Amino acid sequence: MSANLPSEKPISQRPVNVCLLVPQQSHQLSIIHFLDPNLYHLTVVHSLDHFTQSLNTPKAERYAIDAIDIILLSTDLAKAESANTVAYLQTLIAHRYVPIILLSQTDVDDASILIDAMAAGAHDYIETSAKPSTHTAKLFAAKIASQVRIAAMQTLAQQQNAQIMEHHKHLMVEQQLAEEVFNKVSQNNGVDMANIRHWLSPIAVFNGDVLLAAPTPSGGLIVLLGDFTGHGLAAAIGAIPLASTFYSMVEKGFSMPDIIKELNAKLHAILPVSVFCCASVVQLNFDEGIVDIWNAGLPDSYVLRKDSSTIEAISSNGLALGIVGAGEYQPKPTRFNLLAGDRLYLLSDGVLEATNDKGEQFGDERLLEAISGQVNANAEKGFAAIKQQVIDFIGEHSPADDISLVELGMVNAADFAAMYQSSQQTITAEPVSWHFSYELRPDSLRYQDPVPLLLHLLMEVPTLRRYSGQLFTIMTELYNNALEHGLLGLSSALKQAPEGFKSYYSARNNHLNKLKQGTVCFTLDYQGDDQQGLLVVDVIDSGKGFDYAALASLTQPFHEGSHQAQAVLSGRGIPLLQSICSKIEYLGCGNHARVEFKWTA
Amino acid sequence: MPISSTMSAAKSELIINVEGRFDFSAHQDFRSAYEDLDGLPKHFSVDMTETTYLDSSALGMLLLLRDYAGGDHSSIKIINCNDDVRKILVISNFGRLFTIQ
Repeated sequence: MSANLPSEKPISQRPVNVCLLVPQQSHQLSIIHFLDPNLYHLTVVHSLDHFTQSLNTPKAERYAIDAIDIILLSTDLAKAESANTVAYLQTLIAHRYVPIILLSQTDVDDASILIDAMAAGAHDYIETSAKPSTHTAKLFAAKIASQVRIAAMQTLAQQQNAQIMEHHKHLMVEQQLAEEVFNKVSQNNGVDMANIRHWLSPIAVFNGDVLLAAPTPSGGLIVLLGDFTGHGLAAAIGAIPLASTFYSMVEKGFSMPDIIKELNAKLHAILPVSVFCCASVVQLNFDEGIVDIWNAGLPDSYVLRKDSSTIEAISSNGLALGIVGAGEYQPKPTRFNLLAGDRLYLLSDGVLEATNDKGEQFGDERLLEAISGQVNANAEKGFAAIKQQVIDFIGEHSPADDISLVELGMVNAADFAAMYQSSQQTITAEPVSWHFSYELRPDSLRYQDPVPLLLHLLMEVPTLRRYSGQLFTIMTELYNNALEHGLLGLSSALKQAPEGFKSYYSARNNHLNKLKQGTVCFTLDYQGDDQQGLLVVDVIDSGKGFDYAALASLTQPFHEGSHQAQAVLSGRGIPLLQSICSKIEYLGCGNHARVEFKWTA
Repeated sequence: MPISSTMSAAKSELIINVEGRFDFSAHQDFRSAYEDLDGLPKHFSVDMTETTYLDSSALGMLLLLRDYAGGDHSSIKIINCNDDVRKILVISNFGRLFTIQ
């Protein structure tokens, strides 16, 4: 009866290898007959020496310690050996689970032998007698079978544990990689500026909180606090395009709403459906003391005014970044006029949910108290004090481990310039001078929108980027006028009627689909440098025009014209254009609109 | 965390109940509640009567449901929210994506 090598088969699917350690004359040898030879392969060994020797024989497989599934140890043999048999066997078995079952003689063995042996590591004992009955045999076999089941469970658990450890190692390596890449991407970090104080605990960063800050070419500062859903890897994956898009767009002078829209578009494209990034973004304009602040999905941000010691909350008013597509994303920042010494606070929910040992949360009331309590403190001491209050609240028993809190200070322009000398890098100062013509014919008018292309062209001029909103309005108004009123002959009076917009757009689409001839031509002319610029936009449609001369002069303030004039002019967006453009005129038969847009540094 | 669901008589609406904490541990069961059906119901309701807590992974799960149910064309109601749950949904502006009652 040779022992089998451990095969791929689990113990429940192959014969069990039993090693019986029993003296030569022992009646316990009778147990050989209790075990079904089809289910159990029994190896008999008469002494420890014999056992050890056999491990070194060429036919070592016969007793290979790895092949033994269960050891039956006679107390007689254990008593005869001088060494601590059980301990010795344990060292041979090492990390595998091999039950050592004592064969004890009823009415002969003292309990102390069994107790000592089990203390040394034996798993159980079975009583044997000199005169076994069939009942005894069945009981014996049942007990052995039970031990075998336990061994199988234990082995499975060990294997699964080993697999888990392997996977965990892999995960840690990937995590580290993600962290390294993220650190490189956010290298541009401007968060060490003197008017930014921040507290981001390591677990917060691990959990997907990210703080980005960069100066703008016009001497301002844009800051973003983000909180990605998902931990570790998922967050790092999102943070990479977030950071690189943020830094490159801020550096190029794009406006805050444009930056936010692009961040949303990027994340929407890359991230899985269930992953998104809650964010607060602040743009500080130190020249004019203006702050634009926008919050999507984070707890309230706060503005603290020094002179009145008042706090205003800015609540989340939009969907987090990455949830909906570009078309539906219209960030609406809130504007404040602030004085030097005023402060802003951005936070993720970690600081509000920080818990003390009574299970209470820090909450917004305590935070507001902490913030307003520091209104007169100097910025650095004040922030440290707020931080300390949170730490004190949580108590010593647990670390403040998921906190993101940012304080931004409004300063005057000169101070900011001193803080961050290189932010005064202006955008390329080279003068720009070009002329661009673009004519659309019916097929393009039907299916293409020229405005994004024209706007993109204008955004190639770095100094125009901060005016993207106004330029978009100009291009859209002029295009709609030329197409809808000029070419398609629609009247804006249609919009006034009930269900007006619906019927207007239905008529628009109808006429557009049937259009056989006609053109809308854009001409853009730009000249400028780093101090000033002039853009002249001409839009000419091939329609009938309108009698602009009969209406109030376009140079007159809108409200001074007649009602009829006002109706026509407002249908063409004139009041809006007047507020943006330095000049508006109509030429030809009214089918030619020309506007001028000027800017100065 | 237990998730249970019932289908309306006409098979046009699936109501998913979330009991206890709606967090990452509910991920598998929540998905099974709507993915293992014959066909796609027209309407969905997520009943939060027994929901005590909602975290960002739950928001993610709601987005997955919305995506499965047709994205912009989906019809999903989130009903019977307690104050805490409602507060989270308000801050996230999820009212733009779901009907919250």
